[in-house]
Amino acid sequence: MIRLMKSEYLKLLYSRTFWGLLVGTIGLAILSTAPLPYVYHDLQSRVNFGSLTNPDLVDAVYSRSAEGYIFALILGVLVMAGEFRHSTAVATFLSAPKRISVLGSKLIVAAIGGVFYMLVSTGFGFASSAIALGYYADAADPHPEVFINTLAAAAMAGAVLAILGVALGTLIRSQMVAVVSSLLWLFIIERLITLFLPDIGKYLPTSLIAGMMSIKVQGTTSTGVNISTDYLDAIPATFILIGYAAAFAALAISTSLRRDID
Amino acid sequence: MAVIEFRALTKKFGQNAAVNNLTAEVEQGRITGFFGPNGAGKSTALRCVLGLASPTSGEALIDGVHYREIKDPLRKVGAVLDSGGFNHGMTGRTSLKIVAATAGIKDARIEEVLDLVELTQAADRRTKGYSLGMKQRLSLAVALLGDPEIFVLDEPSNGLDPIGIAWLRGFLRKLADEGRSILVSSHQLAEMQHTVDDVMIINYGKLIAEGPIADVAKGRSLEEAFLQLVMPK
Repeated sequence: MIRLMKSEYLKLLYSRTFWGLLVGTIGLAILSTAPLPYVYHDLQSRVNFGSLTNPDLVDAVYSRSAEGYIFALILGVLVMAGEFRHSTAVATFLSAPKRISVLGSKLIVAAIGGVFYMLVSTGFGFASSAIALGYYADAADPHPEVFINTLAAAAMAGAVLAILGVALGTLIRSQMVAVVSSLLWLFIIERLITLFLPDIGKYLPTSLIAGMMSIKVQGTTSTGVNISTDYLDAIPATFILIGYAAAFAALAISTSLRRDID
Repeated sequence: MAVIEFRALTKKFGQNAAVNNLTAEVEQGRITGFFGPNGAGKSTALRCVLGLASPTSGEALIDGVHYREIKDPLRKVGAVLDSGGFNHGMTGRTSLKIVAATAGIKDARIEEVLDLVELTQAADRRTKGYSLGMKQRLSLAVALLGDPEIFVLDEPSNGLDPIGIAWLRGFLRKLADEGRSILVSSHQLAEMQHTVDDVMIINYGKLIAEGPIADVAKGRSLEEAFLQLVMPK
């Protein structure tokens, strides 16, 4: 298992895509945080978020540093579906015919990779948040726990979503289809469910990740629409996310055991 | 002594039997040619031997066990199934390093196999720029990494030029002379006539001839014997 993990690690280390995705994750973390102080400041007249003097709102800026989790999911997809795209699956399963070991090592290495992406990008997000907030003299200081909460949530999200990605890449061998479906799910379907069926939506991955950060942002727009967020608490959200990871890992392994390798 | 055994191996895709009740053996220390028309089931049978495809019934064994049960498969069996199995963004050397890592094979062996397949000078180029022949040599290098005693090669001469084919012939002969056993499929019958000791011929998934080449050819060329067996008048 250790040798297989080393082999999987080398595949990531020598893959340009891995580093490209890391750059993307960092970029998304910066883009998700740097403009926020300006947005919140500008929206004050239209949305009753409060102002940057509210520490909760400053926390919300920092917490967006963990926004790059989609790249952890894509990383997981590439770890598995990439084998079929490059036709390297045959070589992989010839050198390690026990599929449960191969899948196990892929799940572990992808999870570590996902954590790595998220910790690095969240660090960049914190830095960009601090720089952007520095332009507003009246901005409150964040609650100290926002950093550890966000880092913990980012790490958990990175691991879980990378595992989900490996499962997806095992089920859908086409890398492109797997990536596009996951983007559609996270950015359209899941958000629509959360918007229209919030009682169901709060159990879906994106809301669970937000729940892990313990972020509570509430406001009402000038048209009276309530835009408050209502997530599960951090501990149940974390356990449900771990449950997702375990279920999808089991699905990936059982699928891989049954299928022929082309 | 048989090192590879097909025991009533059948592999169906839906209702279609790609391999149909195949029973045959590959003897130790010999080069066995595995021949058949396109779609005859050669590659499917080899994939069953190597644990990549699950037989519908019957079994395929290596040294009496299923491939998936071999503890250190790279050191037992070297396989070439296709020449496209490399990440094109990586170099030949990196591709070997990744495979070697799964068996704890040292870097020095990577240099040895690169030298054996005469690919040392191109080892640090991305495989995207490799010719088909170079990819075949790299596939052979992967098969050689664990210094195995058994080789399963699916059309290894694909893409090789005449010099490469001559090189492959000498290479396989050298491996067999060292006591290794080789099961090799190919469409290059004229070439294989000078390389193999035994033959197995299948058509529509069924074994139609097996034995030492002289017994199967019966004074004809291998190509003539093959054509008469698969296209009887």
